[in-house]
Amino acid sequence: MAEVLSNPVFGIALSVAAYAVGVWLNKKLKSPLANPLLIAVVLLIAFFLLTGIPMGYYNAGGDIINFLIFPATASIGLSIYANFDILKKNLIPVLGGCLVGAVTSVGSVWALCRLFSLDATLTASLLPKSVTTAIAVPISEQNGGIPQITIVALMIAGTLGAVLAPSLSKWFHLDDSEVATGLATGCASHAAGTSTAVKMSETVGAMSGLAIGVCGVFTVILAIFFKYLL
Amino acid sequence: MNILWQVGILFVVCLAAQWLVTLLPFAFPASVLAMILVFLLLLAGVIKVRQIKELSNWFAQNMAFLFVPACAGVLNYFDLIAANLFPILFISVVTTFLVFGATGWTVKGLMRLQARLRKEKEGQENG
Repeated sequence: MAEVLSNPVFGIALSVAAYAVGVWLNKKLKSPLANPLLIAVVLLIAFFLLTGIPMGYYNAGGDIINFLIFPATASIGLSIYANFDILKKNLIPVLGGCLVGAVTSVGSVWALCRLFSLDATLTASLLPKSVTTAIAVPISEQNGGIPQITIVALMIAGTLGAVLAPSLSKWFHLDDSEVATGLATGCASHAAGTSTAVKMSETVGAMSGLAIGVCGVFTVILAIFFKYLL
Repeated sequence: MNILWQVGILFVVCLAAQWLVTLLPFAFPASVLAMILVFLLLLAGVIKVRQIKELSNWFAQNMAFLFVPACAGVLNYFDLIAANLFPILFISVVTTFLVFGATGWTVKGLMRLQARLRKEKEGQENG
């Protein structure tokens, strides 16, 4: 049995199966709360706890999937390029809004971490929590953070935006501006928020998608200085 | 374009990024540098959209799946998260609202400013 389980195919097949259930449930329930990634992780953990199979067997396949995050992140460059025309058309609001968004995120996370006197590891894990997973994880790792905690925090941020973006837009009196609503959603709630933004209107969706990349790049630049904050 | 070629092109850019980060005087994630390189190479016309389109779309549609193994490791940090549950929740929620408001108001302010400047310019041209 060990020979079968230690083959990378085991971890990959298990991941695909768990994620497929997640996608199916998400479609069935039609709620941003039924996040496919979250469901897949819960299923995987339940699987290992129930079967008693050591999770170490999972890593052979898991590492192969992990490796693909690198080229997948690189390919985001294409979506930034695809949105370049709308970026140019709204250059000042996009750059200004995303810069303020990125600085607000890093600054407020840092201040609250100090307030709760969290250690350097937790602070480094939470600092990049507003940007998309592919960008947040390497920033977290680079500064000694724990990627899993970063993902927990950014999933909270993403789910909040996915559920509340239309209400937040009203509460903050942004509902008269599609550009402002879209950029705010993308900066605060990355790809998860964008999935709701595209349902609000084409402009809101495009702006939210654009904010993922622009905010991500600003946060990476800010991250160069994280070592002075930790 | 053939998927194998697309893989080849994207991986060469990744490899170049991996090498370039070793030359930088500060820590920078290779994957994010690769993302910036892909954007710049498309902008410069060195890479064409069709040369990486299908592969990139596939990655974009399945991005969350790629994080399943990384997230599954959360089990190892269960105690740490449980011990800091309130700060992690509080910080994640409050800062999300702050970022939403700060971004939205900045964008509105900047657009209002741009509109005013445009009007003044038109006023001068007409007067």
